[in-house]
Amino acid sequence: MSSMGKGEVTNRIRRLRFDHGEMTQQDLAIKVGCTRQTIIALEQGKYVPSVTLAFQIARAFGVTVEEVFQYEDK
Amino acid sequence: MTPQQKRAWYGLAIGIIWSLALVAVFVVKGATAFDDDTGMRFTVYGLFIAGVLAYVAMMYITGWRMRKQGPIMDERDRMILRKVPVYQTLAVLVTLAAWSVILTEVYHEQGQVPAVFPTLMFFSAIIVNMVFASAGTLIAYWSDEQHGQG
Repeated sequence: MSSMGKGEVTNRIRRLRFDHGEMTQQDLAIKVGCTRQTIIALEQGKYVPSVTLAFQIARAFGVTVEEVFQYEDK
Repeated sequence: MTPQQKRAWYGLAIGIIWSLALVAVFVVKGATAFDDDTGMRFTVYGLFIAGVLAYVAMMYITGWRMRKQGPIMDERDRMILRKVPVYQTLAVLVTLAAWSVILTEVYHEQGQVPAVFPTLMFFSAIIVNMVFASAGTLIAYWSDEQHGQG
């Protein structure tokens, strides 16, 4: 039986924003239909998005979900 | 600060002013004067309705203005706001328990309470419920910021 330990989801949103012409948090928020505060919470690692939002963010950058979000076992 | 937090602060301000105005009427006139003083009754009813209308107007106006700047609520807000009814329920229950204990102790000898108090209990439950819609929102956001990784 495999056991899944408690992990942590990290992301590269801040990096990707800068790689995409210094896109602002507000611009990204409007693109994916969430508030700027949610982008801030994501970048600070305080919020893990739904699968839908994760796909929307990845699509906004034109990359795969795995290129934005990583899961790390603790 | 999220749009929902801004709204909550406005709502809390309205709720506090509203509560203080109603308390002031009862302090100046005396709670038991409510039964005999028609002017006081209409003042209280007027304040009560004005408070509800002010709250609804604030929600409508802030929502309309904030929507111009982008989404005002998303999945994270909805997740956080799911906790608010818990705070509201708890606050209303504590309020009713306080009324129950105080009225029982104060009017124990007489064996009955003045007719004004059921009305005041109802008003206070509504006010506490609305104030804690705002206060509960602020507590829920604060709690989320402490714990993170929603």
